[in-house]
Amino acid sequence: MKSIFFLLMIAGSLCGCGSDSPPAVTAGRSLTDSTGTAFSLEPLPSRIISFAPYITQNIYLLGAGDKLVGVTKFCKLPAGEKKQVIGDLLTQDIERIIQLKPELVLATKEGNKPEVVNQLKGLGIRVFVLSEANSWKDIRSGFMQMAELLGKTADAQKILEQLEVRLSAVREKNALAGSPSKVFFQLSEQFHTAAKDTFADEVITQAGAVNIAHNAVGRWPMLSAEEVIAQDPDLIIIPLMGNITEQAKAGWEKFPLLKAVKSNKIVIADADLCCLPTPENFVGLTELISEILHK
Amino acid sequence: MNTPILDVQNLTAGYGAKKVIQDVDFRVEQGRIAGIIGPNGAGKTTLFRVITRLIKPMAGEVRYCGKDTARMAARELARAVAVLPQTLALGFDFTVADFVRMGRLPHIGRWQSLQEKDMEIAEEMMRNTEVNGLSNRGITELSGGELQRVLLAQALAQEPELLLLDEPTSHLDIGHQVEIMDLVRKLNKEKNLTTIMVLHDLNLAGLYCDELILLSEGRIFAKGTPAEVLTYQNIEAVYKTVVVVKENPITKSPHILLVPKDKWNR
Amino acid sequence: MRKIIFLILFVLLIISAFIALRFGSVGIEWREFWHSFTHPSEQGTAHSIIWLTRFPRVLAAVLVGAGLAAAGCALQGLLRNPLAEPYTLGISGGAALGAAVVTVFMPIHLGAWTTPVSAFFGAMVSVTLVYLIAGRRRFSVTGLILAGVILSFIFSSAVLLILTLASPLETNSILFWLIGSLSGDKVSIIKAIPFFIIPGIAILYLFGRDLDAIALGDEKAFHLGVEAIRVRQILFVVTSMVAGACIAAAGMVGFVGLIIPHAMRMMIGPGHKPLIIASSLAGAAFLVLADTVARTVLSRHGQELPVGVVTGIIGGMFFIILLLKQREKMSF
Repeated sequence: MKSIFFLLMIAGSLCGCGSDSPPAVTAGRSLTDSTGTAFSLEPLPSRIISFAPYITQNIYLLGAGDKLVGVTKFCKLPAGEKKQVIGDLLTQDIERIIQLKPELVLATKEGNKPEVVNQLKGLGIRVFVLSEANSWKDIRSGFMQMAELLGKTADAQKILEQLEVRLSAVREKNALAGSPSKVFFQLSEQFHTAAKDTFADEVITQAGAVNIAHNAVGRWPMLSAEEVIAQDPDLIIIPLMGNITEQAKAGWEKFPLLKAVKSNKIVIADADLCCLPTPENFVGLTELISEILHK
Repeated sequence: MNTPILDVQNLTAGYGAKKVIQDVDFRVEQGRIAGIIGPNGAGKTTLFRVITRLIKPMAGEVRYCGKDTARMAARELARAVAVLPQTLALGFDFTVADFVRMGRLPHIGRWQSLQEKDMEIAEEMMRNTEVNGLSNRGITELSGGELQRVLLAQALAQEPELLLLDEPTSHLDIGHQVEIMDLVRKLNKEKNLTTIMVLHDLNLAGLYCDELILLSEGRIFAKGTPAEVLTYQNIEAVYKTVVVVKENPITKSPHILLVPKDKWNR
Repeated sequence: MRKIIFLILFVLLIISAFIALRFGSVGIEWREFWHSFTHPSEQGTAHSIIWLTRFPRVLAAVLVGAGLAAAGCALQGLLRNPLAEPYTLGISGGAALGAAVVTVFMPIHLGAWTTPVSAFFGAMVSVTLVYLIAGRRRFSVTGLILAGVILSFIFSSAVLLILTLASPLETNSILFWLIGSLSGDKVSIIKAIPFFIIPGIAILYLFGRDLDAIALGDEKAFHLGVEAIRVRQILFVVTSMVAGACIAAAGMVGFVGLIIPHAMRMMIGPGHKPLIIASSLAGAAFLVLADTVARTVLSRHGQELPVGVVTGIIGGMFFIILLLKQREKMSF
């Protein structure tokens, strides 16, 4: 059960969009998705289904929550909101989707099955397939792409400008600090972590620190406890995921000589903040890490 | 002279490189009942398995009506020769009627279903072996004697020219032994069905067979009528025990009386 | 008597298919339902749901259920083993490895065909190996079972190796496949699997009497004119094709191929010709119903169950009831 939770957590993070789409301002009235399908931007869709938690969060961020008619069971909605659940990341209830008559389905290339996307297209439903984004640049452009689809480019630009201001504040703080601190981002009891080309890794770098798994093999490697101890991270971040989180933290406290334990820098963080690659989470998590490290 | 129904010519056979029977040579004429006898390890079962084509001869041939059985297809052989094995896999609980009908298998093609005629033949054979009352019972529920008769009915449903039986009376009490052997003889007389059987019990062999083949250490020690084969000299030489051979007062067939070792000196 | 049972099973299959078309995660009014039944070419929501979503899936369930049950029935006779099922002879390990390799390493891209084709290919590789190994032991029952079991172990271990190397998402996707599910796009696959499953079942039927004879032991079969080794060679290939097609379409749906033939044998006896027909009909009806349950039971929570979970639980319980009822007359 715990591991399934973890799997879905990761799955939720595999998202974002392709960066090779034309910039918003010069774009014509169409947009191409990661499968090479061209989309006309008019008329604007008024019934949208989201296939990933980060997409849902971005839609609310853009103020288009009212257009959302279907979400996954892992999508977090603002208090008071209720939407039809259409499945999780791997399986979707096709009947329910048909019944909801969506004008646009937003899916991800990495998190959802191409089979399902094809099936929906075969049923005449428009599916825009976003592609994974992890770096700040890709997250930004992915966000803009969604904004264009929803007709919210002005709002999106405003949001991104504010976030940029916050990021530069972090960068300034980093410049004052000495040698970069080491961070371990722990995703499971078996020390699964995020390596290069992941949201967490990009955030840790932005926060002026070094991800100890940055050069590990694969994107979601499993480190050994020995390796973590040898690296002696200054900070251990554990996304909150059920009762294993406390156990994992207690596990580290058996090693009082670890820097992170000595300075009490084992942090349990909100799972969505750690794993959903929205621009807001990117900046939020960067700020959190930077703050703890430079306390 | 007629071609014998079974002609075993200079047969040598065994397992791997080991020869179990050597230069076995005999023939059985149409309508006879022949018995294969001999002590344990003499090669009775091996001979039976070569005749039924379960193992290949190393040398020599088994001819059925002049045809080399090694060159006959399994189905062709099964239409002519029916075999009652000693053991049977009884995993599936077929009804007696279905089981007997399986005897028609060599006669019906893959695309055909059982015809009225096949049903009638199966029915008739069940009456012949007096198992028609059991037709809806499962074969796993039968007693030893009932099962032997059902197996016999299945074999007869093949409408064979030659019936081969491997120790049909083992595991049966004397009442059922006589019942099965009587039945075999009745079928032999009524249908002129040539029968060859491996027998352990020399007295039954003497009572029911027209001719006997006595094996010893993989070779034929003696062959001929029961009176010729079942002499105390032959039996003592082959079985390494002392016996007394008397005549059955009613059937006039030879009857073997055993003598325990501590009484051999008398 | 048998004809009546066939008729009942056939009616049961029709009713199951009807229920499966009628019910799903989305409720459809009777009026709409009849309308799209009587006007099957009219576009619309009900039409899309019934004819483009439920119908291909029901068809896939019919074929897979019938195929698995018939193949299981034949293998139980062929191997004289009550625990034999379509996956006994190593086919599942190979199929799983094929599916896992393609999920993780993506060596081929065939759209909707990617997983089915690679699973089928993997199945055929393992079946060929089993065939070659068993051939060295003259296709004896133990030779086949041993070769199958050992290759399954090797392939399953390879799957576990891949699972440890895979990303969590890929792992999840492979696990879902391993449990067996009819979700996803079945429109393409149902155009391919009938060519394997229908002739396969027909051949098994034609060999029904040979299977009866083999059930009595290889030697007795030979005395009835049936060469058990030849039949095992042929039917091993046929059952592998059928099971391979089923696995390609639905992953590893368990229990259907084990339980349905047993249940049918209790009802109509062990004769394989009628048994293969009855098993096919019952297997189809059972999987259609199980898939309907899998689609609907948690649909209010936006969750679909893998059908393998349903066949395992419902099938297992149903079988225990049968077993307790027929304790005296159990044939195994």
